[in-house]
Amino acid sequence: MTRDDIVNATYAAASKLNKFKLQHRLIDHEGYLDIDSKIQRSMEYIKKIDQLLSLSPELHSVELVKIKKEIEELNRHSICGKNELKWEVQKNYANIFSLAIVGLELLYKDYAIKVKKQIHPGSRHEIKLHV
Amino acid sequence: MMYDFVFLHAPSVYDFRKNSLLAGPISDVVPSSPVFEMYPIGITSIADYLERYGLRVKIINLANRMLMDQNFDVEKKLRKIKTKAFGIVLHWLPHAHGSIEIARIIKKLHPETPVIFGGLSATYFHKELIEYPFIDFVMRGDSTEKLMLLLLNKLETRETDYEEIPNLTWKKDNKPGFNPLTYVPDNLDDLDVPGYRYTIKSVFKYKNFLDPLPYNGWLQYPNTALLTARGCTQSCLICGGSKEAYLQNCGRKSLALRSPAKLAEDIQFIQRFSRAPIFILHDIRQGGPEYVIEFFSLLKDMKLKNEIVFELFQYADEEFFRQLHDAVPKYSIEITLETHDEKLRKLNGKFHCTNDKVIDTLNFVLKHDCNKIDLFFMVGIPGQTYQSALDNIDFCETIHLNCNKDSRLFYFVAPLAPFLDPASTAFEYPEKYGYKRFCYSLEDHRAAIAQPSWKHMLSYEQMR
Repeated sequence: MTRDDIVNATYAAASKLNKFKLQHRLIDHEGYLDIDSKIQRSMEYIKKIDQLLSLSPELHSVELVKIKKEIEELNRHSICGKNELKWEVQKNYANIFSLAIVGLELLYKDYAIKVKKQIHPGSRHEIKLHV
Repeated sequence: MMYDFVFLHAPSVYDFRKNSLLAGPISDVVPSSPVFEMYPIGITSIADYLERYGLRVKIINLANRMLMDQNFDVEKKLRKIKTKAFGIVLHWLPHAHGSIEIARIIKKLHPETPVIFGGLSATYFHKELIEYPFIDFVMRGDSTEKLMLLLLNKLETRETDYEEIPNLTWKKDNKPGFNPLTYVPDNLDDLDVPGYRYTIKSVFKYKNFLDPLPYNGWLQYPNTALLTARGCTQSCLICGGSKEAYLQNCGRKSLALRSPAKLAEDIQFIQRFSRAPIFILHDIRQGGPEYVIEFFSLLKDMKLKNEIVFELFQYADEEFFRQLHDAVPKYSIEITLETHDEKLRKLNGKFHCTNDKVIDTLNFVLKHDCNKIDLFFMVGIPGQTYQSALDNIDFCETIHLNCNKDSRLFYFVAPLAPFLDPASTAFEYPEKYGYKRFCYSLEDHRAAIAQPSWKHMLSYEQMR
């Protein structure tokens, strides 16, 4: 596969996968349409950028700036849904109270290191490598 | 505040906010955006180790700060930092552009402060990196915690006998020195990999929770990961972390495993502050059957509250999942299958078994109450044709029908992009595996990643 083939095969496979997921109700219709639209637009912009690159560097830079906003929308979750990769996360994923206690414990240990360093400032130079 | 060392994590392209880049799907199946704002977890390990000796170390994820705030002023931020040395991460090659540009800015703002590069890609391209006038050192290898302390000690005492530090690439009077890569430890138990203790502590100690955030959206989806080993037992052709790549790039002849006890201790620690999933990186079976039994036994004795995510590199029998579920109440599985083609899988190294065995593995997982199974297919692997890439989706359907259309199965397809991994077998012997490489040097990759579409970023194509 050439660079073009790799790009085309990626979008063709992603499109086929998107249809398969809809058919087996692994995604909803809205999710299907979102990815389908992103795939179609991505392929169009790949061609458009190819055309722009045939212009002079000064001109293609100017033209690229004009499409910046549109292509940025295609830079995330362009071939798979936003939440498909996520493992489940509980709503209260972090307990601020316990996080604060952990933080204080670690600060206490850090303070002990600081005291140790003042008593024995050369300890960092005593490191030995064991291979 | 004066720091002893400040780590900077650059965006893939600097400044991505000003450039128009159609990065497309290159980061669709990783937690990062195309800016690749997630930093390699190894830097927290280095930071943790250095702070044990009383050094003040800070991690600044510039890429994420830039992503989170369009007006974040990088130069203003960097100008204010007072540190004895800067560390810049070039672990994944897509950072080839951003890391170099950040180093250039640092040297402009702090001409007297040493700039040290590290990471697997920096190790591979160390000779090229040291040629840049704004880079002073490259610390090579996969385990540089202790070496970094040795180097920072030298800088502290202004000693310049750098030839004493293994794995170091350095320069003196503009002449480079390349020390042999001899420090390759086979035990990681005296390290925290990653250093979550450091990360939590740094938020309180330096009163800044934005700088060390791992990626955009972490506060909403704060998953964590634990590294089981450095090195690998597998020989996957396209992987820069394969057995061959580690040997070639880091001189690593064998796996350096973290002990099951150490892993369990880290899981206990994470459980204290997070209920998010914990991803165990690498297939734990790399450690052998006794390692797996010990690890499962420790997990079983623990009151596990978090979901644990495991990676599988090869076929697993039902007994494995029975034991796994017995030890872990809630778990998910990640499998990078790459292709439906059994011959290509054999060639590439992952899941080199029959498709029937793949389906068997999945049915075993499903039977033993797995929460979610992610299956990844890839476009661009050695020997693959356009049609073969499309046929992967037919195999998804075969799997689905043979697994009772189970909705816990999630299917993904992604391109091998943007680059072939340096030091991977495919990178080293492209013609042998049907590749034509467009990029050879670091500078080639630096130019490629700044191209306006991911098609032009690709560092390779297949030979006809």
